[in-house]
Amino acid sequence: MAPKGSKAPKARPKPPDPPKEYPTIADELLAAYQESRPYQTLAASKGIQNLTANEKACYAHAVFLETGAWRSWPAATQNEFWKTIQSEKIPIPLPKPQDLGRDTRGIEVGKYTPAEFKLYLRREREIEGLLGKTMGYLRAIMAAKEHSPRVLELTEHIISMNAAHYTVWLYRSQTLLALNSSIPAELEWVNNVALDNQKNYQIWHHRQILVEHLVQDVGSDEGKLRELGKSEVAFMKEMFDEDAKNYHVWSYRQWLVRKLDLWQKGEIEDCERLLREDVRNNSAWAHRFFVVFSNPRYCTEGSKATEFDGGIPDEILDREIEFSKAACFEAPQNQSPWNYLRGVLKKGGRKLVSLECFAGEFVKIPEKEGEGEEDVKSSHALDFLADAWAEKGEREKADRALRLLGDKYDRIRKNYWDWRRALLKSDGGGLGGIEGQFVVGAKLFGH
Amino acid sequence: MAVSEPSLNAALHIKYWQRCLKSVLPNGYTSMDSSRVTLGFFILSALDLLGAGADTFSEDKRTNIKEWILKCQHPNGGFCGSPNHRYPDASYVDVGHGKQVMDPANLPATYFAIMGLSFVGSFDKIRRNDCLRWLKTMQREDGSFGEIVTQDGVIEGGRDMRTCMVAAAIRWMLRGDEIFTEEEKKGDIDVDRLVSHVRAGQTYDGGIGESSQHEAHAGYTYCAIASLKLVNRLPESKESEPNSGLTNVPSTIRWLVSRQMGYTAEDDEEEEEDPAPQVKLQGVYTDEAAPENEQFVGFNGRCNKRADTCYAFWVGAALNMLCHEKNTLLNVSPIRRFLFEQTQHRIGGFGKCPGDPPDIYHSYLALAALATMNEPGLKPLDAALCISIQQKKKLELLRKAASDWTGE
Repeated sequence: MAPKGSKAPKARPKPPDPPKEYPTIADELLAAYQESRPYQTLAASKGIQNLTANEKACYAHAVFLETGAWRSWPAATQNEFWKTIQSEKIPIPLPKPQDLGRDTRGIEVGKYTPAEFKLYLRREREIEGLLGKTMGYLRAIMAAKEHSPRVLELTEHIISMNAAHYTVWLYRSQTLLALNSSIPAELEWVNNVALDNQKNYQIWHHRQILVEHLVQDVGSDEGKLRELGKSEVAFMKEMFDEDAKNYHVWSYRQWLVRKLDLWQKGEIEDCERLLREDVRNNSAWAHRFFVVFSNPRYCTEGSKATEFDGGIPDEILDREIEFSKAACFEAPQNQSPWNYLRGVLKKGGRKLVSLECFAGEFVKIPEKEGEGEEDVKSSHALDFLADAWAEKGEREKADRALRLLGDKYDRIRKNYWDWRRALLKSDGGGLGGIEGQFVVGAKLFGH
Repeated sequence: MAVSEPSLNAALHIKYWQRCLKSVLPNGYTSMDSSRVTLGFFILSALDLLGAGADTFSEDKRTNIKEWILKCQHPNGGFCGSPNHRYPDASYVDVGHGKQVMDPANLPATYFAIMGLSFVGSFDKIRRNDCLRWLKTMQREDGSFGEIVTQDGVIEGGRDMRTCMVAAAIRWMLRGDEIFTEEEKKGDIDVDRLVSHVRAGQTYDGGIGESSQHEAHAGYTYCAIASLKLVNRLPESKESEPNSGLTNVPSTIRWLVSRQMGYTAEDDEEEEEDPAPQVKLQGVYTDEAAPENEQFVGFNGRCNKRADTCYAFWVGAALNMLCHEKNTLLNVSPIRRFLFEQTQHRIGGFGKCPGDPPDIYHSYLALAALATMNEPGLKPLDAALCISIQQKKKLELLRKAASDWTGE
């Protein structure tokens, strides 16, 4: 389409208007339309037979443009046609302006000023019509505190457009409970919404409300509770197939374990299954830590994740240590099991030195510096040993390990390893062993 | 290895942010969705960091933005995410305690609205005392904060560190962190419980999660540390009170520096394919310790996840707060190179991952990360508030003026 300001042809009957302010958008669009077809206007006012030969030719070209008849011509003819259009500067006709309709207040949009119209268009784009209207409708219903089946339809509709609307989910759950609707049916619907909206967390809060209610209904019926647990876990498996590290799903799972007392019902096995698929899945490691070290059967209530807990049986500590060791062997440079090991030792009140031999499997350093090559399979093992040696008071060895990390095996963290070396000199402490001897601030940058 | 150091093209970024300003921020008729206040804050603060902030706008523009934000203020304190989320004032008259289930004020929106106002105007139109009263009602027994309070007084929303940080920041902006009289303390949130809630979030690996039973996450770790900083409870020495915020600072530092990862372009291609299931062979090493690529260093938000622009801020700023000095624990050059050469976009702004188009959120946090590392051409940043130190000082003046105004 020709830009509005395109130059008028030589034979144009009127000189081009200077940029003009129109009172309404309809006027502006009409003027632009007329300006784009000067020959049609001229022919209409003078009569075709009264046009000059040149005007007649231009008029014919303009009509061909407007009707689109030229599109069916052979290429050579089309070329000729466009040459004339260019040389005669015939503007390309705009389509006839359509009625713009009325706005939500019933005012004719055509009567807006051009500036108002620009804003109106922008606003329309933003509200996206439907969502805005439906929300308005729901607001009216909410104000009247209506809880009816149509609320369910309406909220379903809104959620399909925008699943992140907090109050809509809240109102939906209130209505479901008020209507005594089928919760299993709702859960099934929610499953699909969740699968389509991986990043949404309102869904999981909604799910909690539903399951909370189901648990109340079921009461102490063990069989039914087991069934519920199973179907929830099955659904989470579907979610994990999409993204095994989805934070919201893991959050919900931790809540569910507490709610349905799932501590010893397949949780550890499930973590193991996920870790077999991807031993680097840190979410699965974190869940395992939760299941093992928050189990009320033997854990001390209120014991923090970073604290010693005297309630943990030795065989559980041993089992967890063996499990992490196997994972370290499988992928030595995977930090997850190394972190897990430190966590287990802390919980059990065991020293890092108790695993010195194990960590040593990954690190061979010649006794004296400069005598042969060292062989390091894992920077995390070296870090572990540095702490274990500091714990034993073997500062020289610890310092050498930290230096190797900074200079060779983990150079991107050189500043950190240097800082650890400085810390070792001043406090004699490794991070794993000696805590509470730490001074943040000046010493952090003592080097 | 001699690598030429990239530098900040401030003009390009100012252009990017001015485009955002035009398309996101208000004019008389514009409606807005609930995230608009948040985006508005990012835009205003980004332009401020670049030295082209609201003080360079026309008076009209500033007034416009100010009025737009004030439209979101809830009659009973706090702000809603959008002026469309609340009814006209008259609708609130007959609803008992004045709480409306549909359009209650929202905690994060309140934080972003007050921040936004600090760039374009004064605090004298903020219902300061109402807001602080309302803030107190958002705190639960366990010390956590919700996002909204319903008509029935139920606190809704998660219990994680984000709302703690936002609550601490609102308190800091409107009340400050000085010692109060007993009378003032009564109206205050329960700081001790807030601290113990944050403290309970530390995980076995040293980071902080939604709670200690969840996976550690850099976003939560930042929010937890910023919360403590804003209520003056970040442990600073071994003499610190037993109730200071973190149970184990060295392990948090260890966890934070571990978020750095060497970036190579091949990493990305590998990521796109499904990782092949690893065969478990005891005693057989399937990968080896290798010096990670040192040219580009990015950050992930959780152990073994991909690098993402925003974590350069969450991690860098968290370390900054724990270490007082600028990020000496981090080697700044490869981090700058990652941001400038991998996630910065040709048209200005930054994307989430290398090759991604820029978006407001990642563009802001990239600038903030660079500002934390003293990038020339950017104003120095206050890590806890995530605004320039200059703006922080302005906030202190606004706060003082507002409390004088209300006679406190």
